Amino acid sequence: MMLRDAPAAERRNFRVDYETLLLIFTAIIYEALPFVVLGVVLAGILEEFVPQQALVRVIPKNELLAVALGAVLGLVFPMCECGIVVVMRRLLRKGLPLGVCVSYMLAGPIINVVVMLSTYAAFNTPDRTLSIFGGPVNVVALRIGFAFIIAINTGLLVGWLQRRHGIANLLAPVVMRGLDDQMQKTSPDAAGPRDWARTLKNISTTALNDFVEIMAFLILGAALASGGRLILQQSNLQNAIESHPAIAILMMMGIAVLFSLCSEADAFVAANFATYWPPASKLAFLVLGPMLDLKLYVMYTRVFRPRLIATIISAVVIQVLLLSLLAHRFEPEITQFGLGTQSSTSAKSAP
Amino acid sequence: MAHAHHHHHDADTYFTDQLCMVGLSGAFGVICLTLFYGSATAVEGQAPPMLNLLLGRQFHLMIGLSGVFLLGLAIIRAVSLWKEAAPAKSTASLPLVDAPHSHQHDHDHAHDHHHHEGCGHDHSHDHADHSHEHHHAHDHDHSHEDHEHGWAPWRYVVILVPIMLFLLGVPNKPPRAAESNDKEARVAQAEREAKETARMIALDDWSRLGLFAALANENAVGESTPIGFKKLVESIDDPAEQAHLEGKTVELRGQYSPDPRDPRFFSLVRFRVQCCPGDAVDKRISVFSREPITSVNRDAWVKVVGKVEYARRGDATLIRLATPGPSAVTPCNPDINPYLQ
Repeated sequence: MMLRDAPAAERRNFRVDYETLLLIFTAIIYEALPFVVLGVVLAGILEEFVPQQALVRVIPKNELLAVALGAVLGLVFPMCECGIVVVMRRLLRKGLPLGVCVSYMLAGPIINVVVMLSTYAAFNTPDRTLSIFGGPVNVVALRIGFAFIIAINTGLLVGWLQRRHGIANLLAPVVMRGLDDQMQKTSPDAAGPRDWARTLKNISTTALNDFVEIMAFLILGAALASGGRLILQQSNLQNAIESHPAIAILMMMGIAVLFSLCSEADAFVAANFATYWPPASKLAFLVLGPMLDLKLYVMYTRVFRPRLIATIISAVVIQVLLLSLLAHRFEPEITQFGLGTQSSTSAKSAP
Repeated sequence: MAHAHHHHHDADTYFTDQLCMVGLSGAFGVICLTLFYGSATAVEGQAPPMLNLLLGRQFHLMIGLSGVFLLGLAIIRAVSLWKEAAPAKSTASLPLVDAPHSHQHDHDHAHDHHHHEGCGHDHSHDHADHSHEHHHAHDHDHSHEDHEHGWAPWRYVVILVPIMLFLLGVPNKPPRAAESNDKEARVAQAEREAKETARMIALDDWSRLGLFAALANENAVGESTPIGFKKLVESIDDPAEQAHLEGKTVELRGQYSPDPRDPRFFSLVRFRVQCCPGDAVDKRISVFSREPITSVNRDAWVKVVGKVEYARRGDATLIRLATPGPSAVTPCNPDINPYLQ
């Protein structure tokens, strides 16, 4: 006896009530916590063992090359967006130019092995309706490519800003004070034979200071993100979204900022948004989310001054919007070109 | 001599600051270790441990390690603080010594008042004269100089919030599922019943009895095998699995999500989570029950015994379980892993 219209396992979101809010709030905190700990321990070690200004000798003199190198540093130092602000601040103190730091900070959470793998996994489903741009390899390539371009451009822009306004006007006073003192004092290796007790003490002091600071801002960001979910209602915008891809892209960007998801998991959320969202909007979600969200914004205010924050935010948002619109315009071409095929036999054969 | 206590203020908030830092970090370390332990030692039949509710399995070990590191760092720092504090007490009674030294944090003293608003110290002393004694019993570590020397207690209040939540034992429930609203299923079932009725009307009494018997046989539920939720959901895209499962009687566990429009229809829901509930997506298996279900609470965990049925609709495959009635829908314990991964 054949059933005609029994439903499939549908994909819908859960209803957000206060208990679920608390669940999401707490989950964001504990999900980020290992990366914050990793970041502060790394920062403490960097602080203690890397001599002052050492990084200046290592990075290329050519600004473009330096910024490009910064963008791919995430392959060597993989770090969630939560820990990356901490590490970036220490690298800054060790002589890494601001532009390169910003480039690392923006692209690091995207151009790393873990995120590439999870993005691939999220879009590599036999369910054809979830696949966009002709396959998961394309999605990964687009995500990385866009992140690379945006990081470089923003890094160069920040470098220009630094030459124009001076670094003191861009960084928060606490960071500046730290930098000034850094320049004045002598290198720690000149202090004589290493005393392990003192080393441990320094590392623990640095790490715990950073931990407490970052956690406070992380918790605030998590509260904003989970509260934002409560406000975001499932309204019937399907028509507007389908007929105006630019609106869809902007909305997805807004959702990315609001949800403040970890860059390892956001691919799965993007993949599962309903199919009436144009693929380019999902791509915008994937590129903007790790670069800018409520969690990150709150942490930025700790390190950068408003002028620099505004510059970074506008540069990133505008570039994401433009690149996504381009991706939308060239979606058929990209889908056909296809660097890789889907996992199952695709019904999408020649046009 | 009158200004000696000025530095005491600084020392007071410094130590309080550092102690708060150590205490809170240590507290988080202990929380992480407790979460990890709770998850590692959980046994089927209990309520899901908190860590299982919060994070996907790949994070559990990381939380454990974070706990170890945090607690370790806190202990190291506590020990070094203890050592710093001890000599300070003994040099407090030393005579004043005017020692020339360079202050990298000299500028802090000018606005020290702001930092001390929170503490109830007496500020009525002359700040004009800055030639005061500094006992360097605690050597200011320059590694933390890019932090304000100020006392910023709001940070600690914020950090206390998740610690308090943990002590209260929340969160302790997985997300709630939206209610079922399966119009297609209801319409399809109505059509089916209309067809059955039409058939029966056309028959004579004996044939009708025979048909009833055949239907009863079809609807009877025999031996059931437990099946994984994920496996059933994945079978939607796998024709080989479908051939294998079609018509089989299975036992499925999930959260009950009723359809308010018709008590015979409901879904079993479980959440698929990648990293944390923030990215949770609900997966549903539709269930049709011949007799209405009325006494099960929404979101309760139930065990359903029913027959697997597939149908094609255009490009898509649809699945449902057909179950006879409330006897086949029984409450059960939640999985200690509340999410599918």
